[in-house]
Amino acid sequence: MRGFISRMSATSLSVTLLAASAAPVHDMPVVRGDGGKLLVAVQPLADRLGIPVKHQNGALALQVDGTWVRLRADDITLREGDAPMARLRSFPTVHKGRLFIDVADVSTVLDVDARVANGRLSVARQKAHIDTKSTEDDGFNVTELAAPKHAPKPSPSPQTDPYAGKRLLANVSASVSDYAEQRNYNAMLDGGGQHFHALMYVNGMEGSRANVGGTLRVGDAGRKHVSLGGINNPLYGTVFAGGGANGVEGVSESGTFASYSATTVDARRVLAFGRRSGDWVREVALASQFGIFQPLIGIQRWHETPHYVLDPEIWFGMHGIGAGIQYRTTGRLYADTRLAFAGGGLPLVNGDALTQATFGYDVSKTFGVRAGYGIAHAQGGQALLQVYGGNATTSYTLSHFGIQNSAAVDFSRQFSKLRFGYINAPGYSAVENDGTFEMRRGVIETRAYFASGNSTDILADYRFKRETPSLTIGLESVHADNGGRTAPTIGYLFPVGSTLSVGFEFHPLANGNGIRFTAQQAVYGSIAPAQRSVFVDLESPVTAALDLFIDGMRIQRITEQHTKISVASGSHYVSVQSEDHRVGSPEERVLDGAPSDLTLPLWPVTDVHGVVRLPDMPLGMVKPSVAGITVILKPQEITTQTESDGSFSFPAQALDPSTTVTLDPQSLPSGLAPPAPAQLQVSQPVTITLRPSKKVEKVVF
Amino acid sequence: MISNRTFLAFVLFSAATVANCVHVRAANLSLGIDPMVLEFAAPFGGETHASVTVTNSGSSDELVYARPIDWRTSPKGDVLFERPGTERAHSLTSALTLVPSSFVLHAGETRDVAVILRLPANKDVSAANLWGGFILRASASGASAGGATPGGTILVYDTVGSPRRHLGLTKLAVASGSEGPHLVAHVVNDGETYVRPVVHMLVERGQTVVLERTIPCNVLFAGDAREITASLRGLPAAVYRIHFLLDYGDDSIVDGVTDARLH
Repeated sequence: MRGFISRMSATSLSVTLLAASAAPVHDMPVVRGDGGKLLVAVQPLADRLGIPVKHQNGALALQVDGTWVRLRADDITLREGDAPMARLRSFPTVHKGRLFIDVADVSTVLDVDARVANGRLSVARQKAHIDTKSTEDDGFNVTELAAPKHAPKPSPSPQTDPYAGKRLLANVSASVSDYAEQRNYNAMLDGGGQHFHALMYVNGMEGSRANVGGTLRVGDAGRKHVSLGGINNPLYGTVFAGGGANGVEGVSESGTFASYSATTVDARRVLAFGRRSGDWVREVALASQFGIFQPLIGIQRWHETPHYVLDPEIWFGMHGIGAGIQYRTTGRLYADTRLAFAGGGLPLVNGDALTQATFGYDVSKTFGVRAGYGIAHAQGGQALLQVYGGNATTSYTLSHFGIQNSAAVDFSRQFSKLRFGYINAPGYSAVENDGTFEMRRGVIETRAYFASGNSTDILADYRFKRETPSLTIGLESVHADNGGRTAPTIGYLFPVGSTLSVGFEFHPLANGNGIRFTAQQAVYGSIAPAQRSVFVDLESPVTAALDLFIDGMRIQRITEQHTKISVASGSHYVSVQSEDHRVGSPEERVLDGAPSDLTLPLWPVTDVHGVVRLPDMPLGMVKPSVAGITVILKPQEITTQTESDGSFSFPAQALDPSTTVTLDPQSLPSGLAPPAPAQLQVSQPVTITLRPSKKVEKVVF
Repeated sequence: MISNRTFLAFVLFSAATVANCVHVRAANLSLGIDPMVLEFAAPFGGETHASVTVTNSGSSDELVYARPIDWRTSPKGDVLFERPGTERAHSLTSALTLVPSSFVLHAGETRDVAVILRLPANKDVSAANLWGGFILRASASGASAGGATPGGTILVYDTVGSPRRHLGLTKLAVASGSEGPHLVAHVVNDGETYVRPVVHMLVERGQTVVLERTIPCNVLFAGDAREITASLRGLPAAVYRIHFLLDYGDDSIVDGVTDARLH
């Protein structure tokens, strides 16, 4: 499964897990995606955090704090079953067969504190958790663990979600901003569904050409699909490491792929055809560069274990051969090494034939170092030296990379965040700082920016925490070469309808005034699932006004004993009930229109309640609790549990007159057994007296 | 019978634990384990697991580490710790894994650890009882090992097949001594597997129950005998009927009865 990601490239972002284990973890698989987003592989991160993960029908299921949630590459919504739990910032995406999420979504998906600062993701679990009870049942008993109990059957509840029946198709955002005298603008469309996804973006700054990009995909990510736009470099590895690629690619269900692409630098065009099978990728390509065509044959292996990555590859071309290997390890002492050789006749671009060695060591939980050196085609040697560290509330990184020095310090507490950054490169240096301080009704935001060339922008404002139209007021001081001003700012953020929010802010520039503008539009589409015809037959003639319910929602009035209804695809429960609530039917399940003929009895609606009592206990037996005993109505298998005083009740519902009341023996205290099932007496409280389950073996001395 | 070496180990361990408890308060370390007893029913060649919650209720970060142990109970009912493998064919320790076996617990933090049992195949035995476990110790995170530490145990049983379970009562009498009148009971595990009994004493005078007490009793392995005593001090001089009840977890309860006149 290759080529599902556009413009993805390995990055030096390291991941540190704080509090989850004694040793920080580095070099978690991280890639840089479209629009510069940093993406991190979900499964290795979850494994490190002790979060159980399993693959389910193309989705990744994670058990977070006892709840199974699902992630899909084509779904921007985190779900529990089919129910939406949270909306992610970006669509999850697949790279090298793994599911990646935006680092900004790590906190939402894994329920952890996650912060990104200067190329470093810090993850802190407040409460580490391993739930081994959730793994596959081996069929053996662990008697001291709580016995599973029947969950009470939930009564149908009306839907209150205003977006029920609708599906989020896309998010569109646009913004224009200026700092001192520099104006920046960007717009992004991120949307799609199970079989289609579009990510388009434009960003740029005043005086320079706009950067336009994106990818359109038809088909399922990770499976059969066609992508157009920014696609994965089909030659990507250690030998051909550089350059993004634009073009078109098609991938079959079996992993066979074909693509045509061109690099954004050095104009290398590649027509490629290949297949990924397990760890192995076999590929033939026709490459052209500067008018020279040459065929290429390559074999790559993407081999990954929990402890290391080993990716060897070899390429044969008409005018040269190339070979490379990447070896990466994790642990307290870790390494990221690549060794590539490429003949000069191969179609190389800037960054290809990457050879590098980076090593790191976590001196302690709060302090680590990494150092390395790399060299690639058309790039001089670049050294990396980094010192990093942190704890649950603070992280810092000091870096030297190539000709650039930088430093970053982050402070994060429950209601406040503060960040300092410094960067120095030939011809440019800047210091910046921003912070947010949450208060009861609002948020104070601060920002300070000092760059070479006397460019300064300092802002402090107060924003009201409201879902409704919200005001921002503050003070900003701006200075540039040609002047400077200090003046108040005022902004307004307001929703337009339920899916569009628009905001603007007036603020001072070095000369005159400026306006910052943001807009975000969520696009919803109606879900119109296929309707199936189901015939409903009532066992007795209609003598009262009857309503038909689907999933607890009243759908239509029934006037005849035989009725044809429409039921949407999927799992639904159908029942009828009289208008006066005196008679009704049990709920019958209809799955994708089956059964197509439904016969519903009409039974009296009954309110069942009662109490479970203890017997006269044998000598010496301690009186156990009667709380939490499971009461079952048979044959419908409707259950509830007793309160601390032994009382129980079922919601009023249509019950078969032959219904009996019994108890789940597994839920009873030791030494007690249930009596014989009792026939239900309409409108009479039910008293169930337990009986001792033990005989007495008497010994007289 | 226990060996002198085992007894010495127990005495040393007890002394160390007492010493540690004093230091524990000073260092404000804490270690909570729940449940402390696990009962499995995995067959030979089978695998099963359970979750144990470890809690640091103290105010300091702790390094928690586990050590596998064998153990058994003395005729008095005390738990004796042994080197892994001492219980030979009954030793479960080599088949047990604790994951993770060491970890850092921050102050106030709770963590679930997994106890995994992978029992090797043994076609020759259809029913058996094995046991083992772990000692968990906690030290201040960052401190050198060997300091005073709180500790706790996870005791694990596994029952293979359906060995017969029974507890017999061989003696029940009232004796008197310097500590006043007391009930003496001799109990023997004449079944084929371990028993964790609930022991109850009930004293009747005429038709009136005048004393009712639950008596703590540790596990009895197959063949073990135990003397259990319970004080009757404070009862006025009279004739009493005393019930000594043993609920050993099967379908019946042993009700030992004796009449006694207290002076």
